[in-house]
Amino acid sequence: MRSDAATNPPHSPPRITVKLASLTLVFAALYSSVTLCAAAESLTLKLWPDGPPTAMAPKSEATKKQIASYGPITATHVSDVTDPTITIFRPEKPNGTSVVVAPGGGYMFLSYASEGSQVCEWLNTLGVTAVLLKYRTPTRDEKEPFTMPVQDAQRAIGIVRHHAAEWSLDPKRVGLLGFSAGGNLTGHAAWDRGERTYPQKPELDDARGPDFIVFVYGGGFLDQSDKTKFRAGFSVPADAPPAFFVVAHDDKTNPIEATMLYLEYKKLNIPAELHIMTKGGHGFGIKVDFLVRAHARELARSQGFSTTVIKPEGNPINDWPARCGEWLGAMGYLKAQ
Amino acid sequence: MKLLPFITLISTAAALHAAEPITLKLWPNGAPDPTGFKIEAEKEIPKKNDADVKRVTNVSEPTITIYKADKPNGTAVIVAPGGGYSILAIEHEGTQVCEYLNTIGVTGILLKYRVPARSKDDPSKEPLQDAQRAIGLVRHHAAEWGLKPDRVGILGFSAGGHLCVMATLHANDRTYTTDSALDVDDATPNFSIPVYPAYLVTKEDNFTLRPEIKVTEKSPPICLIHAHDDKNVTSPSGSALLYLAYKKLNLPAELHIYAKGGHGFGMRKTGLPTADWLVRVGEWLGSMGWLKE
Repeated sequence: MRSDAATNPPHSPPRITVKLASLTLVFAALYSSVTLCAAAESLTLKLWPDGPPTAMAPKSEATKKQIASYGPITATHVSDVTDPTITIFRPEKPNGTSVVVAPGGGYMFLSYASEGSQVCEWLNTLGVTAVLLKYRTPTRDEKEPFTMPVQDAQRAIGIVRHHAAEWSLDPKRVGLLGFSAGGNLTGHAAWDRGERTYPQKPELDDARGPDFIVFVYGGGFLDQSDKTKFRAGFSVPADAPPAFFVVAHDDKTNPIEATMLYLEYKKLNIPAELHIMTKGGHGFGIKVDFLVRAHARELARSQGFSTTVIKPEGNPINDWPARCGEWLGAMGYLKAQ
Repeated sequence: MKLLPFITLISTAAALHAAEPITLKLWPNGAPDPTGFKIEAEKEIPKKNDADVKRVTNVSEPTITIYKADKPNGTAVIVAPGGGYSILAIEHEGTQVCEYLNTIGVTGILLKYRVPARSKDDPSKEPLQDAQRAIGLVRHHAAEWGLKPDRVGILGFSAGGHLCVMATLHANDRTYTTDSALDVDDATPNFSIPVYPAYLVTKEDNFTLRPEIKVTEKSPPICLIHAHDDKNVTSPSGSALLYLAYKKLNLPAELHIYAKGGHGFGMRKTGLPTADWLVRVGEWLGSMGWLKE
């Protein structure tokens, strides 16, 4: 249904007609590669080699119940993270940009696949090195549930910057991407200007926050009693990093929050992008289907074929990573360093 | 291969058809201009170079031109070019948009509204009359043009984006005597697509909506497109604030604000993500069910 009239230059590569059967084969192959290639070349590091700075209190009965209501804890639905880690997903040809990925899960658990490993695989297709953050969870009983997860994110960014040369990364192109509660942690890591809440180690930490952020259906910065205002004491600082906001219109107050944060960016004249799709609800993450199509596009491009044969499917929200990739490109973050 | 002669025939017919879109006068008995208002003859200002835009000005005989899709799916979009209520950027915010819409089965309806503004105090007054009348005419001709009268949307750029918003929020605030043969009782469009709309915010404070930009329970679904680096009276803050007003009433709305693009990108192939804005609009139309036959 869509035309490439608006996107293709006049001398675009010839279009190909792919027989349905062969296309299906390609897709089947891609599906299996999508699930296999994740494990191939990943490296996992402890964030706190000597143990985390703050010990976790035992979780309350209410939190136990709440966590149980979301289903059993599995390898893709992680909880009880007391010794947080990062796992590095390296692309074939790193362009120098890296993104630390913080899954969501209401500070109760981590949606470790659709808001984690699958996101890292997508970032790899762009040449971006992905760093999957397994932050301390659950912290829901804490007065400030984000404090320990933010420590983990700060330490993760520090470790990435310290390894920049070794991993072929630009220490000034380290982004932070978070979903839902991970979005909340991303916002705090990007916008809070108070002192850090743990002793800094020069060989592992770095004073700067993320160089850019991707805020996916995040929240927690609005006044709980009046969601047309920010929390008392909160403001976007004048040196906030460039931001990409994406959320669905039918996701309760989260689109209000994204729009209000966006308006603060506009007031401060800091680069920002905002996409609110009409339908999508909460927690859509990255669909395996999107990944398959991303791989198929990459394959088509590498073979000199037009990518218009790989059509978007279903709801436009499922293609949000494509919008985010375009933004990363427009901002210059995908240029080889 | 034996189909070839037929294909040739069909494509010839299509080419002939495409070459002659129908144009209708909005006001067969003359447009209701203010008394004593005089205007020079309509003229086209050609492009000075590739980067320039084709303009039309001195429009006193407003029209709609119907760009029918080969296989119309029943949806129509009225397209209002921009140009500060002074001229119309008739090509890259007009004809080219209609041509793209045709590729997704949507009938494009180019609205040539009256410019320059008759009054500086109320520059959208006459253009709004034109838009309201255009909606009436399209709905009256729906069956004839293969359209569904409840799938008539409006899309506009810059000043045309303001007009689009006014036609959306003030569809039935008429400043002319309606004619039941040409107008409809309810001229509310079925959806609205303002593209870098101008004048939504006040000149003094770009973060305050003008008093007339008021969303009601009756406001139809909206899809707003803007660039972050647009500014002053065309600041994306206008689109963001209008979005918030929709959200407050829990009405369907979509918003795309791109980091880069400036103002007036229209159908230009800039190589930036903004250049695909109309693809996003097509996806939105699809997600809302308006591309189904």
